Amino acid sequence: MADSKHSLLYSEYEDDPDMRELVEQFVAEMPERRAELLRAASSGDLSGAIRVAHQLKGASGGYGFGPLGETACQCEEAFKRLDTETDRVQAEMLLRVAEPLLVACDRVRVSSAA
Amino acid sequence: MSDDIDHPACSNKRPIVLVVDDSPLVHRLLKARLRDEAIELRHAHSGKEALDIIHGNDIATVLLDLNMPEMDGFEVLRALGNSESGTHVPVIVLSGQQDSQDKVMAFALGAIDYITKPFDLAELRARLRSSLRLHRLVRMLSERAQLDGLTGLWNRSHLDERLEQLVTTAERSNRPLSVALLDLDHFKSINDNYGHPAGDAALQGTAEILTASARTSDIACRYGGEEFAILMPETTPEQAQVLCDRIREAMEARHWPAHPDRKITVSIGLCGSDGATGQPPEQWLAHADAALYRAKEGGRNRVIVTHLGKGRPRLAAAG
Repeated sequence: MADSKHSLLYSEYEDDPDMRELVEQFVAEMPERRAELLRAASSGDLSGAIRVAHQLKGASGGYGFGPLGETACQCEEAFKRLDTETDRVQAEMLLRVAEPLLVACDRVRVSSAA
Repeated sequence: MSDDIDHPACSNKRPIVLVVDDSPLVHRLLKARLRDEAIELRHAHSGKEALDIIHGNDIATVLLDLNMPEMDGFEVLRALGNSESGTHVPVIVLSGQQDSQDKVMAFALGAIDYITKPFDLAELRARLRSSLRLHRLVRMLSERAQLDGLTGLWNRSHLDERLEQLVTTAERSNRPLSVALLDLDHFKSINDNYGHPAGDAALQGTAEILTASARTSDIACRYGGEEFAILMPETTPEQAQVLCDRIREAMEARHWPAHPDRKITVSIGLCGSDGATGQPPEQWLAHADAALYRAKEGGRNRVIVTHLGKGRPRLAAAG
C-alpha cells in the first residue's frame, strides 16, 4: 500500500491465493494500459484517455489497488472537466492531467515480499 | 421415454448471469470472484452483444455497466424495456458512475439494483443472490399462470404461445413439426356413471401417460375439457405417429381403480410436416382438429394423421 506519494503500490490481496494469479496478470498488463493512456493523451484523444482512466477506476479496487483506482477517478474527472468547446484540448494539456495516473501505473507491484 | 419433458417442474439448470462491460479487467475479476456461485456466467463486451445474448437465452440476471462506447448501459436498459423478451430480466447496474441522477435514471429505465465500482465482493454476491431469488419467484408465478391446475400440464394459453413460436421457427428453418390433439372417448359417461372424481382421475391419469411418453422437447398441454395437445418440434408426422400410437396403447392398457372393468381409450388427430408449409399456427390446430374428427368418425381409439406440405394435406390412418 502507499506509504508516501512515490512509494510502490501493492495489492491488498497479495496474500490471497485465490487472487494471486489475477493480480499478477493485472500487474503484468499494466505497462500496456499505461502505454494506451500515454498514446491517447499524446495524440489529443480525450475520449480514449477517459476510457482508460474509467476502466482503471472501476477495476483497480477489485484487484486490491484502491489508491490506483482513486487516482484514476480523479484523473477521469479532470479529463471530463476539460471543456472541449472552449478549451483547445491539446496533447500537452492531456498529458499534464494524465501524469498522476501514469505515475501511479508505474508504481503497481504484485508483492511487497522482496 | 423421458423424465425431463418440457415442464415447469423440471428446470434444474444453473441460472445464467450475463456480465456486460467493455473492460476485460471487470470480466476477468467477476469470473474469478463469482466462481463459487451456483450460476453460469456469460460475457458481453458491448451493449449490442448483450442484447443479442439476452434475446436468445433465458438470462436470470444482467450485471450491466453504464459507461460503454457506442451503446451505453442506459440504451441497453431502454432497449430491454421496449422488447418483450427483456421485460422480465432483472438488471443490476454495476457502474463507476456515482451520481444520484444516474442511479435515478437507471431505476426509472427498469434496473432493479445499482452497485458502484469498485464493488465490495460480499455485497455484490448478496445482491446477486437476491436478484436471482426474485427472478426465480417471478418465473414461478409466470409458469403457474400457464399451468393447468388439475393435471399439472401446460394450459391452453401456453399452448397458443409455444405453437406460434414453433410454427414460426419450423417455417423459417424449413424443419419438421407435428401437432397432435387428443380427446378421451366417451368421457361424459365416465363422469355420469362413476362421478366427477373418477372423471378427474381419468384426466390426471391421461396427463401422467402424456408426461411419461413424451420426449424432452415435446410440449404436452391440456387443451380444455377432456382434450389434450402435444407439440412435437423437430418431429416428422411418421415419428409423431409412433409416439401417438404409444400413447393410445398406454391409455388402452391403463387400469383405472375407480372403474376396473371400464377401459378409457383416446382418439388422436395429428398433423405434421417435414418442412415449411406456409400455414399459420391456427391452421395447424384446425388440421389436427379435422383429423381428430375423422378419428372419432372412424370408430374412435385410433390415430389419424394429416401430412401438411406445400400441396394439399394428405390423410393417413393408424391404430
